[in-house]
Amino acid sequence: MARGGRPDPGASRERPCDIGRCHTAQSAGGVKGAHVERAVRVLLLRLEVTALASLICGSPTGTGALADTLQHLATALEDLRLRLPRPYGEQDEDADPLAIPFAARALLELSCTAMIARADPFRVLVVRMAQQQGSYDPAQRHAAAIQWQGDVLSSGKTAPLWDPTRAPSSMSRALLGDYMQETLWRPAYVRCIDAISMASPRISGERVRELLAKDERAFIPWIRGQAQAAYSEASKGIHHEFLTSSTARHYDSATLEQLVGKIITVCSVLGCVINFCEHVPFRPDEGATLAAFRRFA
Amino acid sequence: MSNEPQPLSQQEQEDYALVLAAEEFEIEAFARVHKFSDSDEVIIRKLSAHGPVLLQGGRGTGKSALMRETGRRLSPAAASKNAAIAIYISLRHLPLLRAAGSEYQRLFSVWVSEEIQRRLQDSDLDFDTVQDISSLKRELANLGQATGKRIVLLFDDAAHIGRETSLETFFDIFRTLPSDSISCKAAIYPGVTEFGARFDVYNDATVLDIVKNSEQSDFEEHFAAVLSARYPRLAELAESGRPSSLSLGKVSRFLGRAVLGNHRAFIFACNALSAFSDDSIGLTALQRTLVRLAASHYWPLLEEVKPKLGKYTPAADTATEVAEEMFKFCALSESSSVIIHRAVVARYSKVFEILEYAGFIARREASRAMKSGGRGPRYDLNLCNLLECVSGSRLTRRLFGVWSGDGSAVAQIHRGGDHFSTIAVPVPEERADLHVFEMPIDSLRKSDVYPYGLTDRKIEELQKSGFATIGDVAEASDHELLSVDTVGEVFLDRIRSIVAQAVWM
Repeated sequence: MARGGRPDPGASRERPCDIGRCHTAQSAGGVKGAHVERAVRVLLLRLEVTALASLICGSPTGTGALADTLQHLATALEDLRLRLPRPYGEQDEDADPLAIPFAARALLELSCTAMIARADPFRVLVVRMAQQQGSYDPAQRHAAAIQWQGDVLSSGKTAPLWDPTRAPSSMSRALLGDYMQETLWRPAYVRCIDAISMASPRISGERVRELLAKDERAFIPWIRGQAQAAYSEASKGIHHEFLTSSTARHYDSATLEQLVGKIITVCSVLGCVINFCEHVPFRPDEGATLAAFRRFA
Repeated sequence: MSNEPQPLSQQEQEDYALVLAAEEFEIEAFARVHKFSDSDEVIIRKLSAHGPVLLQGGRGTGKSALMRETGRRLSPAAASKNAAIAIYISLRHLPLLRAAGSEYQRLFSVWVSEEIQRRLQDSDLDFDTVQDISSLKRELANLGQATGKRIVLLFDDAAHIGRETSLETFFDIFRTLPSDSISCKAAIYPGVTEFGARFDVYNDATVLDIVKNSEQSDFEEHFAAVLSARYPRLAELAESGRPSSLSLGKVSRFLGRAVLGNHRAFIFACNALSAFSDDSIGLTALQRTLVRLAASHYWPLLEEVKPKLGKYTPAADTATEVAEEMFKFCALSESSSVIIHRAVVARYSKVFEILEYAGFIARREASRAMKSGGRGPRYDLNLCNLLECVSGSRLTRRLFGVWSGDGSAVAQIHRGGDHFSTIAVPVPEERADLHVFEMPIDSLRKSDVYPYGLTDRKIEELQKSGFATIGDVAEASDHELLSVDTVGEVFLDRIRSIVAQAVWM
């Protein structure tokens, strides 16, 4: 799929090991091998990008506003993805250490926006419509804009959740908030891990093991902690908080690798789980979701 | 693998067969005999990176080896291209075990600063001995400035089951010590649940569970490399191609799975297998190895652990009863894996944590659906105690095949079943100190519980000199121990090592 195209979940069913074998065999053949190697690398990248986009944005079809928004976000997600270092993107390991956290944080925010669009379409559609008004000024702060604190993480206390005096307006609709945990993530997570446990061939890998090590009560607290830590860490370079010469010490290659890996974990895991929520739109079928997730397992 | 296996001399093979813990190796020998798989390399990268990490694993899973290796690669003397300096610090220091609050902070600051001084002794870098956490933080920041590198502190043996006195203070330090130039990592055991009121395990650290799993793609390759490095004779037998001998890959995978990927138990298993294999490695040798391990390693381990558990001491006996019941039940269906309803696990929570610590079981999934409804964690069982419960303890070719793969049936223990119904839930004791300190010195006599324990003669000599309990020896200075007849420098190291095995996890 070309950059900018729509996600194609079917493409991600290709087994990476098969492509890897082809890669090795052909690369022994000199110049021709180098071309094939390049082509295979590009194909692998596209498959992985497509897989991540299909997990997070689903398979948006039709011409409605929500589908159009998600198609746009899938395209933007792919563009950002390529700005990450290998093996996830196309950048070299020694790429600009300040550019990687920027791309990683943008990918995390964009992924969360796409999942908010699927979990709570109203929230994103009103922002879209606000942006379509002639009065929309990018230089001006918009109170309705999607915010990390408030839309992704809930701001303020929510306990006790089911207090009879609590009005719906005080029930946080944050993507990783307590109410979304109870209504969306918890049941979806149970369906997801049951499907992973029964998958044939078995899905194995560090991320799957990490995922299966959490029960449904621990899932959102864990992923929320990971998301918050990754967001804060990536933000240090964006807001440029480094007032001493500590950039190199903080954003060394091992640390950037962990930061990007953590953000890919958050996005791919949430993207996989959300497709097991019965009320979320544009869900790929279970097989396609697991095939896409297998690439990040 | 990061290092090619170096052949060991016969003498080295014999010497190293007795060394079971990574922290007991000299650093040169450590680098020669330790092999790190691709998944280990991922963990080492995580330990090298910025950000707090808790490395969690049962006894013998390789936590210390991974920490020491990270410390070795990022040592102050290593190449200047590294962005960080890592300092490995064992927290095996008796006074820390009994302290809390400001006293713990003081002891910790002194101990850590002295350990850092030892690591820096071959460099021209200075590090003052400090008495409080703020000063420690300042000294570390100065070290970072002086070297232009981030400082990674690797705290080994940081937290244990049943040793909660100091944990709240430790995790407070762990949470507040890091800065942009200081990273903290700590090794903890499963079952450590007392992090204190201010430490949020999901937000204040990344928890890495390092248990090796036979589903990992490099599992077989890793254990084959360990076996080849430390037991070249066994590797030769497996590679001999004799029809009666199993291949190196099959032996390594099966033994690795049998001990749930536990490195220390794997070394015990290889020691036993060496004794049972003359000219080939067959099913009989494996069968005898597994049965030997069940009798002389796993059950004694529960006895060894018991006096170290503090207020959870009574849970050790319950763990024995639960294990007997569970392994018998699973052996009936030859299941090497079991789902246990979460209400049952919650009822015996410390018991299951102790069994996991001792290597009887390893939790693979936190929540699996059960046939009867409800959910529960799925555990893999070690094959040694399982084979012990199989009829005739016979390892048949069919059983070998089933247990070598991941396709064995999964047993289920339901909430309303009869299992464990006669086993009382253990009640924690009101105990401030560990029972092990009160045990008489002759408890350390060489046995299955302490395979490298003291001889009768040495015990007599210690008793004659007034050392009545393990605590007396643990708290004695080098000078006091060297004043005992026949105790020289060599025996001093040996007795320290034996006491350390008794006291520490």
